[in-house]
Amino acid sequence: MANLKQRLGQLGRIFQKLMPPPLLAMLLCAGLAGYLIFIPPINGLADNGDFYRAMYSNGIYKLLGTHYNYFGYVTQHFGLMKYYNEYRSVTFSSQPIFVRLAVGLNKLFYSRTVFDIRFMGLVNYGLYLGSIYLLTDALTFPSKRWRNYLIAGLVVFVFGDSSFTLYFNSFFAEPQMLSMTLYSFSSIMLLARQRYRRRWPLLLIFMVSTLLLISSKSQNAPLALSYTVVALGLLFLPNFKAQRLYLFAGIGILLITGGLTYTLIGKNFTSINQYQAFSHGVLTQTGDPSKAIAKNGIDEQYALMKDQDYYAKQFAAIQPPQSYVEQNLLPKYNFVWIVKYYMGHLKQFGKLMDLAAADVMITQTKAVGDYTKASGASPGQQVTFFTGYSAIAGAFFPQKFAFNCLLAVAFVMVYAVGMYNDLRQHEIEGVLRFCLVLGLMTIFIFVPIISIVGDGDADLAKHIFMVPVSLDLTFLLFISDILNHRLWHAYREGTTTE
Amino acid sequence: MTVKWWRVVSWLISGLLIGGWLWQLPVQAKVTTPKVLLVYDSQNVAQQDQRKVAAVQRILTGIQVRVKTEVAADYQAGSLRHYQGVITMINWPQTDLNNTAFVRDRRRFNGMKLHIGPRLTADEAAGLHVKRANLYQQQFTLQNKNGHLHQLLAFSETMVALTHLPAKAQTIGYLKSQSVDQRRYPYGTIVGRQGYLPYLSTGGYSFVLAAQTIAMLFSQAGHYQPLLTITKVTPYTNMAVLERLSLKLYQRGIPFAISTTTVGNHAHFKAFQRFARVLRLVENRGGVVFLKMPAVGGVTTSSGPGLSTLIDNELIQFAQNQVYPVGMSASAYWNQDAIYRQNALEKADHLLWLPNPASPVYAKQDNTATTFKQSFYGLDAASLETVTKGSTLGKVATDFPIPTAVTFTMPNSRRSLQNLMRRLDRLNYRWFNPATQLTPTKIASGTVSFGYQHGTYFLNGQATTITDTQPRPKKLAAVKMETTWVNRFFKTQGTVLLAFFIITFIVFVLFIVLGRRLYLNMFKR
Repeated sequence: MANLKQRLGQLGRIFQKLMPPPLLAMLLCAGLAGYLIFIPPINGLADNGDFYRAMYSNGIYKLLGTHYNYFGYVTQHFGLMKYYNEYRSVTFSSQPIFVRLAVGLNKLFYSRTVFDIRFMGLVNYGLYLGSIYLLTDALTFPSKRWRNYLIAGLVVFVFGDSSFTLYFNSFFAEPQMLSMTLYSFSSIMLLARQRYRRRWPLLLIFMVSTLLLISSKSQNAPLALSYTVVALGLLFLPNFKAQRLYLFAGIGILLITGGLTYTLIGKNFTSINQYQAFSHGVLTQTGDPSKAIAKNGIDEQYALMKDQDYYAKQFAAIQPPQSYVEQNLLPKYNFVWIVKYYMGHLKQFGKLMDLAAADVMITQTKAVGDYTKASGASPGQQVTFFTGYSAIAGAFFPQKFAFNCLLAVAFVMVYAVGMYNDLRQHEIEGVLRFCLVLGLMTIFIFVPIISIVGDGDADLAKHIFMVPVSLDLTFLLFISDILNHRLWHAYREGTTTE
Repeated sequence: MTVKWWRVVSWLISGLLIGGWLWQLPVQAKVTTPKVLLVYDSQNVAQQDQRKVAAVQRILTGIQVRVKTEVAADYQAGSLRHYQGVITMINWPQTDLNNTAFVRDRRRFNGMKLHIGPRLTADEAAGLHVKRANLYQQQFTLQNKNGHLHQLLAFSETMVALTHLPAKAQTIGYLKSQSVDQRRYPYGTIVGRQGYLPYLSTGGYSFVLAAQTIAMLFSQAGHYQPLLTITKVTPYTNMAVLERLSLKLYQRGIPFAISTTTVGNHAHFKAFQRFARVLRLVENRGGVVFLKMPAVGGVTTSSGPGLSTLIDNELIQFAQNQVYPVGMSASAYWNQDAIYRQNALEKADHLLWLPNPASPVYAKQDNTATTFKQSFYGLDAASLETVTKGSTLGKVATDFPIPTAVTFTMPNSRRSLQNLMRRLDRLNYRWFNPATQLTPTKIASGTVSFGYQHGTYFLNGQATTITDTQPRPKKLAAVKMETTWVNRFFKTQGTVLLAFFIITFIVFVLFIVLGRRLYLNMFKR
């Protein structure tokens, strides 16, 4: 019997050596995502009308002679431009880097004229798998216990969820945002836990991934502030005094990138956001807004624009892009006007925030189909394979913004205790971890507010993509810290095994 | 009592029989309007000449001619025999119309033929019994027969004029050369069943004469007073200005029409009721309302039912607020689209056609226009105000050969309203009065039908009057979200969790405070 136990223990050690938790998590995610996006009939997300931003400026066009399907079905093949491409990027974004990489791979291995969306999937897939490995490593290092496999399983359950991986086969920027967030998070945690002897590769990963994240979409510009909070934690790294200058320079670059991303939004996008912040925000969640807007200096007739999109989905009484709205409505209000309006209508704002809270954990974009037409699925059909986490979280997460605020305060307080204890012990892990959680929680709370004030409830579920990612990361960190007994202080080899 | 009883009976019987026979006569399917094929070489978008194609379509619809439009390259041999007329339109003189099947079919064709633009072929000239004269680098004045109406045209690089006209030729307007010899060439020419226009313009005197030529060729020319129309009214228009505009027109005794879009929901908003109140004022001040078709976003071939419902809703909301449109107004391209025609336009029998937007969005383009009981050609008033280039057409105020609406854009400030009134004063027209001159109109949509006849509005067949006040203020029940037990569960669960969290929090803080006090007390001795 004792012999058998010994043999089993030996086998276990070999297994742990061959298949450490990070590798296992990565392989599982590779299998799940690979099955979804590479094996025909492939899955992905259909075009909601936004793909053109990433397509034309990178030399990709809708194949002529085929019926291009919006919303209903995923399109697998696109055309690649052969001659001079006159399209210029409409926004300042890091996304073209990844799209160009996909186009390059496509040209190298597949075709110079036809683009297969799976090459976009491949680029996203590669980035993603690396980030999953680093994340699991960051959450489990340095302990070598079996429960780390539970943590790895949780990582797969949360971030292997199809609601995230479906994005890969699309021209959305979200898959890169997901991977970059994971890289950024993992690099800080690995630094905190002093995983590697050399620090600079992790610092570099943090810097690069954060910059790519902030610049990937104009709506990510405010994240620069959250990540400044995270970066401030790095000041507490031991023997870092000489490098402080670099750190401040880095923070400066972060802020400048955020500023650039914000200011280089095309005029068109500013108009869209400004219009929809009004029609999808100010005018909604209230009975008859006519009087309220008249009181704030806007002709009450514009109340009838409630729920209108800037680009009409089908029909509208007026096209906002036409000069009438540009000349008569948009100059009448701005960001400050909207903030003031909500301050005077807190009940309405509260309802809007609850609306945002209700969308927080719904990560699967239901507005577009997940299947190709060739697969025989009905238009707009949704994948149900491995969507357990998003389904449960979407259903059970409380739909109250006040709850989110309390949750954020609770997390911050818990990790503040950890920081306090570590500071007293001259450890750095708790400090960096606290700054990271604080940064993530600012995303968790402020991104919905900024979304509502900046663009109303239009495309809300997509605008708050970073919110569930931040919460999921904090949640995983919390669970893994409890499992490894290091919630209240840094990991101590001897004390944790009771 | 001289009439015998049996004679009365026989009259009765024969009367009944004839009546019954008449009753059983099939209702004539549709008054057969002529069908014409409009073939053009190119839209020539660079020169914005697609507007000319649309103008010809609008003119033809206005004179009750159904038109199918086709680009020459798509023409297939033999298809001309389904039509009573053919119009060749050359928009891009630099290229040849190289569809031999079309040229051959047109030569053999016996119906109405019209050529618009340069490149009149020898065949066509022979059919007209005329000779062609190529005129290069000249400037012309377009004038009527006695020359008291004239308009200076832009410099033309090349133009094909007709000479040696046969005696039976009809000439509509003349082109007078600015050169020394001051020769006169015909502008519109009709010889038998064939016509010719050396060029086409979408406004000004050229347009009036071109419309006259086309109408005469199809024996439809008439004399119409123009309908004053205010376009681009929306629910977001400055209502104070619209109210004032209607008052000013009323005070001057000018009948008018407005072309307005509306929304299909939010009828209970104060803003909508204000909009409807102003429209009622318009109706009571000698104005009529044309319902403008909505702006188009991302439509597909399956947008039809949605469009139909939207129009129905718009009309029902109008009806509930005593706003009764007499017809619809739309950009010309709506008539070239099957979905738009079937789900919106055909609900009405009076149409007002406006120019196309810069980039029309079709749902299902078929280029097969239909005709309506009456169609107005929307002509921008600015094209009649050409003071610098000859006679001010508006001042001379000739009538129009086809039903025409002279359009002004809705002003959005007092100042632009004054400007509009000044421009209006310079036009000398006797305006078309819908109350007395409009043929009975009808819009049938969903559950309501509107009519307008001799100044009286009909709602579902009943004559009705329009009050100045809000008709029966309706209390609308608040819209309740449909909640299933699952939703209720999650909602309650959210609240319960929140409450639990708050309580825990308070207890937590309390414990910290208490604990700290205990801790400190340990040292206070």
